[in-house]
Amino acid sequence: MSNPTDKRRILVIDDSEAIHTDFRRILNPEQRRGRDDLDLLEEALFGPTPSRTHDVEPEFEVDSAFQGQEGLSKVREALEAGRPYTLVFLDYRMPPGWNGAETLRRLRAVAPTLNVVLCSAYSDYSWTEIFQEFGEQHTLRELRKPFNGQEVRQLALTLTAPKESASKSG
Amino acid sequence: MQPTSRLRAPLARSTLLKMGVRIAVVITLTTFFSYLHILHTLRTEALAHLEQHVTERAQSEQGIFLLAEDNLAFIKRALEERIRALGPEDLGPRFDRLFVRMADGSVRSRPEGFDGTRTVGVFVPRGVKVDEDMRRRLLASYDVLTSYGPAFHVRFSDTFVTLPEGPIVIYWPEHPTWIHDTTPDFMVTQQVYFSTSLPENNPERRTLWSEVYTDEVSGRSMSTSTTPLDLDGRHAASISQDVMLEELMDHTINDHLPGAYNLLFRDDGTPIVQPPTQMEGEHLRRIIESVRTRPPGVSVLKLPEHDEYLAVARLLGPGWNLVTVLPEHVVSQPALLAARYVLLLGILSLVLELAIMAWVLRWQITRPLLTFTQATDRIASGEFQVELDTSRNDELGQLAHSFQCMVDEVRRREKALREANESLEQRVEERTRELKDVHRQLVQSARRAGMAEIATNVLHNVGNVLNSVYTAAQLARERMTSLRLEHVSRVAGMLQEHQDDIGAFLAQDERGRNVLPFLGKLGQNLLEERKEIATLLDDVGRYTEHIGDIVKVQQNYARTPRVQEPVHLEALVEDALRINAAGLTRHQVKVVRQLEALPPVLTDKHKAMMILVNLVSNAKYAMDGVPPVERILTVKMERTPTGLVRIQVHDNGMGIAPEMLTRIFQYGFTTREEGHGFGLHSSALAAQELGGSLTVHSEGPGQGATFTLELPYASAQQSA
Repeated sequence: MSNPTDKRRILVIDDSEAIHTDFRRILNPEQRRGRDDLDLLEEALFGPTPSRTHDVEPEFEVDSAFQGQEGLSKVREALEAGRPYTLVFLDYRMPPGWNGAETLRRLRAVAPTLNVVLCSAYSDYSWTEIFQEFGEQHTLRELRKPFNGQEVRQLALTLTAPKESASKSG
Repeated sequence: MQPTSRLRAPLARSTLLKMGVRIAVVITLTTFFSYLHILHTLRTEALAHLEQHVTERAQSEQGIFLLAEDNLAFIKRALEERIRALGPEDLGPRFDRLFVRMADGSVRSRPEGFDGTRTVGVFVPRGVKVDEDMRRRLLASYDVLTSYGPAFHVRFSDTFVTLPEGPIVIYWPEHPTWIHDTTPDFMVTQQVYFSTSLPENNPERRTLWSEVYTDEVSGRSMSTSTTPLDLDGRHAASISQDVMLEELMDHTINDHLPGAYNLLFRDDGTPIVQPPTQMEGEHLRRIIESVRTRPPGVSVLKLPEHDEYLAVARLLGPGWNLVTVLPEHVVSQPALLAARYVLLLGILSLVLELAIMAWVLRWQITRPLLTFTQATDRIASGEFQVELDTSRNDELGQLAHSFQCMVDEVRRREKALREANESLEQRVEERTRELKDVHRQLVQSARRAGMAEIATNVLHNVGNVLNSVYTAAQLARERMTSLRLEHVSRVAGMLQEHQDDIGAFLAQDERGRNVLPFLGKLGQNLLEERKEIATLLDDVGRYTEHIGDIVKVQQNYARTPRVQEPVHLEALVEDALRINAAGLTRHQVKVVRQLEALPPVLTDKHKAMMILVNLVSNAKYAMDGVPPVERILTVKMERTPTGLVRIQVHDNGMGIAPEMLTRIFQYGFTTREEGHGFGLHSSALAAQELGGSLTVHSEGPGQGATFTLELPYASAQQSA
């Protein structure tokens, strides 16, 4: 589990620094220092506590890109390195470069089956048009800002799950 | 509207003038050719007449000379016969009976019973030997003259025979006593006419005519014709007759063709008749010369030097030249006169024609045209009741008909036009109203669009910040719920259980020994967690405050705008920058402020704000192509000398092509994919509404751009 190759790779493409922090906070809950010691002492004192220890979540490796161009090159690099991203969170408004639709178009050219969640704080685009163009609902989701941490985590879990489990949960 | 009175070249007059000029040319040409033709005809006639005249004159004048020659020839034959026929008895007693030697030594007719008017007289000068031969010749001459002399006297005053030795035998009734009156030494051989009969002067022995001379006795001009008679190769006698030339001279001088004059001269140029006294010698010489050198058979000559025609005829007998000189002007004068008549008639007919034409034009063209003009004037003044004479069968009738049709059509159209005009006015009014509505709507939508630009920015910014607030708050709550606070009470319960032997429990019990380390760790953990939560909650607070700022700024400008209020422009600029602050930071744009401190200005805060937000936002996007470290946005505010406030937003970005400078304020113009093209359009409109202007300047693509907002400077203090 600590092996980085097992981590599910997620790429966040957004022009706002704060949003990246948000994603990291949601997807990479801080590893509590000294947790192991405390847990051991806790077990020694009160016996094992299954509820807490069973709650093992998969770890995500979250990468950041601040423009569509940068995001595309990171996706391409990851593919070449043999460690492709399983999920991309893509912001719709990222001036001055490509916007979400443009970036998505280019990502699809490189990685057609890559799961993409399109985020926006302001619905200044037509979701219908986007789906008309890209039309793959199971690899494309919408996420409205401000978003709920649980929702993001759930999306990440669902969309990064291996195929069989994804079909089970989805 | 009196066009006729103002016409400088009426149709009739110009037509007449043109026709008159043409006819005049024709008349001139006709006159000229007539003149040439008449001149030619007259000249031909004149010359023919001249030739005929001179020939006839010559024939009539030469009669007397021919007659004299015939006479002489006849006498010559008779004399020769008589000389040979005379016998000896005649020479002796008969001679002496008729002639006697006078006391002065001369031999003359016997004076007794001599009647010179009927008798032939004989005179032999003194000293001339009268031999038998002379007697024979004298007597023969006497006989012949006695026989024929009186007959010849009808035409000739005298007939006489001279002998080369000097004697003379003469029948001369006009001077009956001359034979006795003449001096005894009178030698007839010394007379001018005699010399022509001498062999040396007349080898051909022809009848010759003397030059003109004045007879000593009668004092008359005459010419003497003399024929020599040779017998046996010896000059025996000369027979002569005098021809009085007064008549010929008189004819020559006075009887001439009108304008012409006559000349009579010998071949050697000696004049028989004195030419007119005013005639120059050179002129005469030329005439004589051209007559003498004329080709044979030619009788009419031209003397170009003096513009004269010469007709020459020769008088048979003396061989004199009768010349009639006709000056050219005598011929051309009648031609000129005739031409003048032609010209006069032509001009008369021209005047007449023009007069008739003027009359016709006036009645046939000008008057009807005047009627048309008047009709046109009436129509122009809006009166359509015109009466034209359409009954004529000519072009004017057609014109009148067409005119009438036109008038009807114009009347109809005018009516239709007036109706159309009325409805058009109505339509224009409606359209104007519609356009006003549309414009108002357009202004409203542009204004809303300007507001939408702000709203979009605000919502995006708020959305992003709110996201962080959610996330932080959620995490904080998760941390809170996962705080191991329950462990504290559990440890407390455990300690309570071992209250009695707490020391041993803590020191010796297997579980008890872990209590204190656990509590220490737990405390440490809780502190850490609290710190984390506090951090998250701080973030929440900070983010919320940020949202509050954004909303506050938005609230300031999203209100229904008041028309005029005191505005601190400096603060307004700062607000505009603040609204765009997130974007400017994200784009790493460095903002330079050059803001002059100004007292509050009365203006529409909302509109000014909207313009500035748009300008800053545009400038931000315009610098996307520039490397981040070089992106500089300069905002400058100052008062102009012309009493305006000038706010300039300058970027060093992509610049604007010259052809775009005019389009950039158009409705719907945008270069950005997300742009809606309302921003600058509504900004420019708003600037106008504020009583100012929004202009742009750019040196071209890549040279950056400066947007200048100029607002009227109306100090709030002053107006308040």
